[in-house]
Amino acid sequence: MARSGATSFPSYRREELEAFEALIDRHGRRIYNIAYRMAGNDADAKDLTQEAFIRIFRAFRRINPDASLESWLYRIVSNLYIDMLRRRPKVRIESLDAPVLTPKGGEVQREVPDERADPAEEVLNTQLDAGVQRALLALSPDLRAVVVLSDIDGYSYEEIGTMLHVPVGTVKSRLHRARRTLQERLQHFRQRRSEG
Amino acid sequence: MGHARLERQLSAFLDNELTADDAQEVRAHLETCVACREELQRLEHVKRLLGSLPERAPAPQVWEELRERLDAQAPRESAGVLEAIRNAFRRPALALAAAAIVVLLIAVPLVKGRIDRLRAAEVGPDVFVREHALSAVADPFADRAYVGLLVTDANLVLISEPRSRGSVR
Repeated sequence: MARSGATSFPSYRREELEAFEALIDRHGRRIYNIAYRMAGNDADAKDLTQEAFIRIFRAFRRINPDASLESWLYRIVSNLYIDMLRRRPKVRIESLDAPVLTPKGGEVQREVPDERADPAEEVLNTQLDAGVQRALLALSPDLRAVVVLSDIDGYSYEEIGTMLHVPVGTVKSRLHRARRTLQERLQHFRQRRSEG
Repeated sequence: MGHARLERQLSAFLDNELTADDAQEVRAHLETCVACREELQRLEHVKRLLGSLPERAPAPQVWEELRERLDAQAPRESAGVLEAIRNAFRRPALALAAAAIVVLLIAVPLVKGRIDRLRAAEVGPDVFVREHALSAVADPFADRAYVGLLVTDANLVLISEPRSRGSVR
């Protein structure tokens, strides 16, 4: 990461800029990863990550140094994602099995590679990643945020409750619902594993 | 707790997020309920699958662009004159000098104005006498020598050299 240093941020003191840079170093990758798992693509993950850090930057001087910036960052990312969905009502999950209408009025089926066909380990991992990501995207943003924070990032229910501003009981029920939905969608990975 | 309620606790049981009593109750139920044991395995599989996902590494451009966006949005109002003032006040010697200049700029006109007013009060009667004496010159019966004495006297006072006591009588 190329850092341009104090000259980039004329309104902050050197030590404040250093603290902000350290914050990006410490949390940047994880925030990006969460944003990617929430949004499902790199372009949106990039925008969400940058916007989250810009918000932190704007408020940096007013932030209590003892406050958990981490949980604030994660809350910002999930709220930004939900805002993004609201602003973009056209975004919807489309079934890959649904036929595509052609300009002449006909229907064609998408050609989707069969995930269970290639035995190569790397391809399997890529497919697994894509398959899990698709299953995640099919969840509602509320359920997705909880399951990403819990199962991908390993936060406790209490931490997730703090990040998302919801009671622990809500975290618990959302997580259970999310996992149950995911397990139905990801069943074939389990079957393949038991076959292999 | 009944089966349905216990089934809803399975995720929390898997995550060690239940109280000791509730966990014990779920454990006892799992001993006898095949459906819940299978459900627990499926939930565990999902959790493991999500946990095994590789971290998605951001491209370096993410941070470069972030920096550019921050530059574009940095609050400029504090960057110019205000910032210079703030910087100056971080150095005590400069701050002291600036304060001294401010005090002088305010105090000097005040003090000088007051001195001028005192001086005006002092010479006021002499100006009055001098003006009348000059107008009295036109009177043919006026004692010209006396009028001349009065005018000279007042002029001396006005140029700050009052006549010595008893020099003219």
